[in-house]
Amino acid sequence: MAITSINQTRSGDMVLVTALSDLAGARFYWYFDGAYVGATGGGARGFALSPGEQARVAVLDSVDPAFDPIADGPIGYPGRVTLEWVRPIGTEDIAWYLVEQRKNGGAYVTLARVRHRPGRWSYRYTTGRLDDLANYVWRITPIDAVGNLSPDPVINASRLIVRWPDAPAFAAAYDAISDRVIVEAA
Amino acid sequence: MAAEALQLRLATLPVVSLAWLGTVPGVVIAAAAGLNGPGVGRLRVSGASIAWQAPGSGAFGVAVDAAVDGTYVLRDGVDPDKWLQVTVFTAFLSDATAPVYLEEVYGNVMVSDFAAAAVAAGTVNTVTLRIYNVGDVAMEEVRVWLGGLDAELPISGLAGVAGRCRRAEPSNGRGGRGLPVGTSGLSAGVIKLGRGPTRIGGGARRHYCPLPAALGYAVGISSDNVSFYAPREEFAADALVYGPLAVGAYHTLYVRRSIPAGMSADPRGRTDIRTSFSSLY
Repeated sequence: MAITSINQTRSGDMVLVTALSDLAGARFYWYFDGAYVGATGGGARGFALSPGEQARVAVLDSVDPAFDPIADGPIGYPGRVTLEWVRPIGTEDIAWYLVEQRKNGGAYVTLARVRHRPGRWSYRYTTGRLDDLANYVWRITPIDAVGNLSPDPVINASRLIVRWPDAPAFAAAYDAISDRVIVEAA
Repeated sequence: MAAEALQLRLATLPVVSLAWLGTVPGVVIAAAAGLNGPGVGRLRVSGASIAWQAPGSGAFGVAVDAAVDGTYVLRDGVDPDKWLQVTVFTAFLSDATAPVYLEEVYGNVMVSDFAAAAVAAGTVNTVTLRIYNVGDVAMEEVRVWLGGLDAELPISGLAGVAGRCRRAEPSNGRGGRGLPVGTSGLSAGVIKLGRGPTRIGGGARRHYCPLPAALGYAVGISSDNVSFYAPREEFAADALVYGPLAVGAYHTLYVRRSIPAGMSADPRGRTDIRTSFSSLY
């Protein structure tokens, strides 16, 4: 592993992260908020971030053809979940999939509508950043062309999100006398 | 009897120790042996034949003929105990090879987290699990013990995990393998599968299955929720030994985690629990 530098450039909602390696022919393995998101032959990858959003990006380089990006990857505490579902069998009248999420027993909130594509077997959707120690439930429901929801969701998934280590608790306050920001343990 | 005949459940729901992402057209993954992962495996469809290569393995397993819609068990080419159970819809099958990403699941048995105040004061938590025989042959004996405990864990985690069993080889035993398992925010647990001796007299074979468990500083298992033990060997004097288990029936396993006062949290600790069963077939 010999990444020599990492730089980032932001353009709108996209952040381009560029890594340089002194390994000839290295492949780069990318981790976004602790989750493996893919490999590239070159040391650059873009990440979409909402205004004000921050994320942690990790990258590994390797020339080992047997490198396993999950088994050999860094320990991560993913703050996002990728949902995967397979098209319903025996139901042809599908136009969309409604992706919903609820947190800690609250009301369902719509995350997205994913278009159904005939001939496509499976779909994926990655959530936004999730809160630590919160219980989430996701429901994905087929919708027909006129907007009727299927009574049978294709996914009912739940997960307790645990992100660790916890950030240190601290408080920051501006001190006008010293003209400094004082950071203290909360 | 196939290894997947033993299934651990929390209430009525199977406990899942690995999360998967990825498939090929016509195939839905239903379960993955904890022994597989984590890592990147591969599914391959050629005609109506489907094969599985576990993460880190050097070869696809023997292709399974899936010409009819149904559920099949695919086995890795190097270690057949690394299996994948899939449901196949033949009308949608098409030749393809795709990666399957397997990741550890945490918090899959502990459905809630402990409050900081409870941890600071110390607490005890007991979870009730069921060991089901989902196969088609009665089991003669089921044993449960603790193994592979991670002494460095600062805290125990319950956890649970579980999964399905795998069949031990009908020859000499081999070493245990890890099976990641999930736990709650305060701790974590892992399960490791044990492989051990196998043949029992009379043609019976011994099977080893992952069970969820909570381990750590003070973890005990019990069959009656009264007397808890921490057996470290399959044939230890205090190993839990259950009697026959009919098809569709279950035994109850209690797992108790004791958290000392003042412990810190670690959502990714791992711990093991081991089980075995024998059956005549």
